[in-house]
Amino acid sequence: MPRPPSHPADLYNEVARTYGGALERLARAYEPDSDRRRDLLQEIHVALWRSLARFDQRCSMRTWVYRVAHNVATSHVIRPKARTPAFVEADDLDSLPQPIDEEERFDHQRTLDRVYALIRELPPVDRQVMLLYLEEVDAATTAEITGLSAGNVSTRVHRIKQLLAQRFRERGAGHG
Amino acid sequence: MDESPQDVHRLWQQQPREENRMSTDDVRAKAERLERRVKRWKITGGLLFAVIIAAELWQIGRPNPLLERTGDLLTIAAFVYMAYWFRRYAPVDAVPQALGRTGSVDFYRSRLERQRELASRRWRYLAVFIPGVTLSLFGRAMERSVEQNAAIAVFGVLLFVVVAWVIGRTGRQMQHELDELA
Repeated sequence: MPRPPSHPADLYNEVARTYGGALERLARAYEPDSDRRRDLLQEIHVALWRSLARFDQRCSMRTWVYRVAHNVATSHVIRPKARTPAFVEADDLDSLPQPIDEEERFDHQRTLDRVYALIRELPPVDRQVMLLYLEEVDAATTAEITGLSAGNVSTRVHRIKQLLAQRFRERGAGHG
Repeated sequence: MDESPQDVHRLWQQQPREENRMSTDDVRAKAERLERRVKRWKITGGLLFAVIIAAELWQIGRPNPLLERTGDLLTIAAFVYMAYWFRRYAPVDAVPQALGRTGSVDFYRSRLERQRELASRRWRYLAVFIPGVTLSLFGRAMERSVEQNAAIAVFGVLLFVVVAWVIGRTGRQMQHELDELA
């Protein structure tokens, strides 16, 4: 007998298929340690499973998923624990995109490596806004997910982009 | 930055997926385990509370000095207050759907406020036990040596000083983060 489309398992499968990649990137941005990142990702998926049974369609599925994911990740970050290393692990470097050209691959790795490192330095709210920006979530949806006003979101995105560009320049000059 | 914003977006979205993904059955099993654990914790907490109250009531029923029995009664009142507070200020994410209904900034603020409240209330938790424990200790003070009574008093004062210092520091940290959010 076919299950109704709103069955939690069907909803969860749909969510995992659509947002699985974004959730992995989000977990990577919050947690540099690979073991703890796996735990965080599992925690997000379990929270989604539990919450989807109570999804009331008062907001879009996308908003719901990002709220759950960011809220779980924020709890993970502010939970008292041993300090995590402020650098990206070798595991991460291996899992970055594989462009045809080795030199190009190295450049891409370095860029993403820097983006992750810089995102992890941002305060939680700016980190959320930045991640949603990178996932190409529009300002109105970001406002709905975070609870900030759309104007506030735009201002923060602008400021964060400037900050990131500035940090890249500083580090580039430092390494150059 | 060598790349344009479009390049960064493209790079970001083209990252490969993790190899070790959880299956739906794994997620379901973990969620069910978590639900069972939460339920178990609630039952264990309730039982522990009942045992403590029963032990204190038994103490009150014994032919102890009046001061000590009054202390036990006040200790019961302190436990009841603490249990009420824990229920009243349960964390936002204790309810699964709250994670999806609460905007992430509000959620973050509520977590910080809860931590700050917990830090300040911790002092109150300790404070509500002071009358009961002090009376209970005084009830038997005559049976102990002066050195033992002095050691107990010094330990009590030190404990309160350290707790007050830790709470003050945590509260200031939380308030600083809340100020930044405003």
